[in-house]
Amino acid sequence: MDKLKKIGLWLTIVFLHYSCNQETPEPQSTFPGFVVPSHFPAPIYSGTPNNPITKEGFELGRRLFYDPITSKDSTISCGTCHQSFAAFANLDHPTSHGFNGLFGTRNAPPIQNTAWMNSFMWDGGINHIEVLPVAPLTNPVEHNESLKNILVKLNRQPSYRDQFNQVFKSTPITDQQMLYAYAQFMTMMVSSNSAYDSYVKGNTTALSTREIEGMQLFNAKCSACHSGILTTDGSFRNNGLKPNGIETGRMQITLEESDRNKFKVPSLRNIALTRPYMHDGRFNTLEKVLNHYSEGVQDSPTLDPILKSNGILGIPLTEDEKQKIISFLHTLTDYSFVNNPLFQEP
Amino acid sequence: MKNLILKLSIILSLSISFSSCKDKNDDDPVPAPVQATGTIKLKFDHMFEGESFALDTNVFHYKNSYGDSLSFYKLRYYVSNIKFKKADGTVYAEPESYHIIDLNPDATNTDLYISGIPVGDYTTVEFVLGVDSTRNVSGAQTGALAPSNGMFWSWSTGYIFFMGEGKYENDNDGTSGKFVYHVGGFSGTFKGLQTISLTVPHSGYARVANGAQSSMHLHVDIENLFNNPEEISIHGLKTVHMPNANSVKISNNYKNMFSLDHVHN
Repeated sequence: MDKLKKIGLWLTIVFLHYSCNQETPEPQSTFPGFVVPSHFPAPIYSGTPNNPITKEGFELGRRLFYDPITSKDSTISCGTCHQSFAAFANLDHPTSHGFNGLFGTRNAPPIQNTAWMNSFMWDGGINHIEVLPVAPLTNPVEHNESLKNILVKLNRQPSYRDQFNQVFKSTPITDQQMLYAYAQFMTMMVSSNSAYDSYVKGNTTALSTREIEGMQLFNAKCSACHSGILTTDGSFRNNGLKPNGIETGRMQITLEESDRNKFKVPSLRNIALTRPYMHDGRFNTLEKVLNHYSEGVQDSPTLDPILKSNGILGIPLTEDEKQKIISFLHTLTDYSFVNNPLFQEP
Repeated sequence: MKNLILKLSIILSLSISFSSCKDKNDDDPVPAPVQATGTIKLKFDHMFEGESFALDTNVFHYKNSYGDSLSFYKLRYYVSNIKFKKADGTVYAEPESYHIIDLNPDATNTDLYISGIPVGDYTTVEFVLGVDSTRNVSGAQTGALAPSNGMFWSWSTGYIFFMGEGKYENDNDGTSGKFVYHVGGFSGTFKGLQTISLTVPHSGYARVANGAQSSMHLHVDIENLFNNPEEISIHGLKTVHMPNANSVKISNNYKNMFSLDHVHN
């Protein structure tokens, strides 16, 4: 008996030694944590005491983001309509197809710099990054799944149970934990390394003369709404699009007539990658967008006053000016963001 | 010499610790004993015009004053921020006080057990029907406030405070169909939050004794939903899906569904 114990002890020691040696040294951790770029304002969300951003939490959020288990028939993941090469928007889709091929009514926005947003969706109906995913997950034309069912499916998978437990130190998996993980992933998606950023940070050669001319035109004619380093003021405005007859934007949330056909001013970061444009994806090219502002603006009681200053509808622009502005808009593309392996499907 | 210093320092430290102990004893009151607490059970007894009420999918058991024969197949609402008050004005507020009352044939939850209440005689219960604005703007919550409970609007953030769904048939105009009342609204023009304060009748009280349970028996008369004081016919209002003028009307009525019938001590 005593001998057996001794053997057992030896075995344990050998095993421990062996398993220790098995641990291959981790490659230098590439997880930088959430870092506020030096030329950005303070974020609105950077994790919370209950949901600190960690490598493990972020990776769990990424796994969920790319996992179609979150849709009713396991065909749609977040990544289906938020594609990395389109700055996590949906390339060439005016609106996206979701469950059973059904189309929604809105152009999927890029996912970037959400940490600086105080409302979400084109109508601003969602007030917090942590509850944002509930909308696409439960929307009948998107994932079309209930949170309850997603939790059942996640709790059935040992690898998910282990991963959640590792991050949140409790079982079973709850919807709060799932939403926390998504929030960690999205918060990490910071785009701040475009040529324009480089220019703003002092590298005067980062932009060409033509791009700088475009930037000056942009500052004069577009930055009242697309303001600051994030290229949006986060407000809701009617930019003179012909109503599509399907929806009224912000008014659907507030029921205020004064909000009719107002939509959230989007950031223009990575705009060259996120076509088509506008809330319903009606314009395929940046040329068409600028043509709208110069010639296509429709008057209505809620049209933004900036778009009818001095009694002139729209923003007068020559062809040359438009092309220069488009040159500038291309400098907002951040390849280090869209190609960052951290955000790709693992 | 070395030894002497050692001895001295031991004596010194002993005297310091002694005196500091003494000081402490002089200054601090006797440590408070663990507070004696008990439980109050809040029983929500649902009825329609005083008759017993239950969910039903097929038979129209009830009728409002506009000729709508009706039945509910879903009835759930949030009860939050529960407080108990004594006659002398002292108040006990339950921490993290969020509950869902749910008349569901599979998972009925109409009794709440509030424990940790300091002993004493409580004359009033107060609660909010709904969820305070703070929890509507603070991201993902858990427990009774988990979005997976289905009492949460995904597309326009906010909790659904009250969910009533059912069928009706109108005697006068022959219309029939479903009705869906989802009521909420924590800010802005169309709020659905209602604070309800109920006092034990006949100058009575719920006596909370140490480790014991008393109960407050609430009556919840659904008929008020249609006429107290706002007049709401089902054939005239079949769906409410967001905070608006109609949801405010319904909330003005659900405030008046509750009465405190009696207590058991």
